[in-house]
Amino acid sequence: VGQFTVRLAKSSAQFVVESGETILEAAERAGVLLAFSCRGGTCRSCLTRVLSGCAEHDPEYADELNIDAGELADHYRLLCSALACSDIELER
Amino acid sequence: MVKVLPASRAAHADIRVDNASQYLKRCYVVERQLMRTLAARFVDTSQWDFKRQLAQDMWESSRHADALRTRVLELRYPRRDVDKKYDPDMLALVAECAKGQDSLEFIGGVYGALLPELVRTYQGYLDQTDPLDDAPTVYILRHIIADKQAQIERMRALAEQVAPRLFEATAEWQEYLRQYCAAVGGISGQGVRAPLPTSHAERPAYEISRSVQRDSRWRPALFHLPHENKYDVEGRKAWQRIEALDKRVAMQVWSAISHFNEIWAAEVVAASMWDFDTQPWDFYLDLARWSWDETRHSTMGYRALQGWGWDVPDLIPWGSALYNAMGPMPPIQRLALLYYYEDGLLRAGTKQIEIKILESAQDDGSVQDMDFDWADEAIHVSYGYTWLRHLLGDTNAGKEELTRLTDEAREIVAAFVAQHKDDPQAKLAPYFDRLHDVIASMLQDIPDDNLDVHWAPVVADEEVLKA
Repeated sequence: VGQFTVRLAKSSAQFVVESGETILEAAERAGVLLAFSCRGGTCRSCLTRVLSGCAEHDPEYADELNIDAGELADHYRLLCSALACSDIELER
Repeated sequence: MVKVLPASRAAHADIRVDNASQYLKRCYVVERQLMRTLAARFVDTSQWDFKRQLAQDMWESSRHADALRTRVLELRYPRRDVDKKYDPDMLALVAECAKGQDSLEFIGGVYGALLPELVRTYQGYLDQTDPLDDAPTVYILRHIIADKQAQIERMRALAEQVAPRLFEATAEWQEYLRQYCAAVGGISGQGVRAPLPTSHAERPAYEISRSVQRDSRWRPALFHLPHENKYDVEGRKAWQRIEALDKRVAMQVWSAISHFNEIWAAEVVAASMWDFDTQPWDFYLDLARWSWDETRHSTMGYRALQGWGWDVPDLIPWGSALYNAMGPMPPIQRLALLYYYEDGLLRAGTKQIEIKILESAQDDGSVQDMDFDWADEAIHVSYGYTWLRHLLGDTNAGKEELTRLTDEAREIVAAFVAQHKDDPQAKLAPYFDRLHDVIASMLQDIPDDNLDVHWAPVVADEEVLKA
């Protein structure tokens, strides 16, 4: 498991996410502005649809996140708490 | 006869776990109802200084109630009953306090009669219990007593400045409440019961207002910033003159005025604490924090505006439209609309952008205010998400109902704006014209950091801005 590339569909910005790093952390490191607030998966500011690729919530606290089963099934993720498991494209 | 050792020590009074929990449960009920009553009377109070103090004390009461409730449960009180079987005398006592005929009488009654009685009740418990066996309660009550005494002292000091004869003028009402409390055996329930006093018994039950009034030092205003009202073309032009000074300046002033006017959000949440009477305890705990936070944000704005040396009531509009437009809505719809606004702000990254602009202006105080505001708002959105799901059901039907309620609420607000478009109180140009000249006379130069200031407000309702 190594680095993956995250692409934002609307702005075409790209950045690299390291293994074990949340997508939000990687965006901040790359200087890409993504809306967020709580960093804990509760405020839903960073809720974003994954258009392609794989991103999963950190299993350590996935049960505590404010996202419902329907949103998960529709490929929404909370970027402050999501880890990439492949190159991904986000609806942002 | 049997053989025993002599008692190792004399027990303190006759406090045992069961009567301790009963005593503290009565205190919990009083604090819980006091919190809800302070929330409602906060909405009904127009005087700014009293208003924000009521909000703080409401939140502190929520913390006191929570600590007492937790302790009551630790003392073998049945979990299923802690939020049921409220002592009717305690409910009636706080309901009497709520009946103060205006804010001044209400404040006189609470801070002159009820809170001192609560302090005596907590002290009475401390006098009876054993500090080792019951150490967790002792710790809690010592802190609550300190808070209550501070509340009383703060409000008395505030009254000295704002309404110097408040406590003397309400002495009769205070005495009635003292007699009422004594007649039900006191908050402890250990006193001798007596017939209820009759001097004010005819007053009807308190009901919260569905519209707010603003402090009489301010000119009546419906709106506070131009994004609220698409019809106010002159107001928008006047604001653009402020923007032309520098967009950083506009952001400094915008954020302060916007913060100050966040009181409407505090009012919506506080009213919900009154309107919903049977929700789980955490609902009230969360909403108490939410309402107090919004009042803090409002105070942040007031502090910033004062910090520039401005005569705030003269220069700054304090709007009533947002709360009053929502007045006729069911409480759940008001909460839904507030959640919609706050969620939209955070999802748009508005706070992040505003902080960058304020940093560019080197306005450290406003940056700090906005940063803590942002952290608070993240909590509020989580509260809104959690409790609206609770109220509407965690189902697709619940989500659809939330959307329906929100859409309808936005239409109601838009209709309110349209209905009042020609009202002189809807015109902001006079404020911004005066403000422009004051601001222009104060500007100072700082090095240009070349920030590309690109910002637009997330409007209260985008329908309002559609041509």
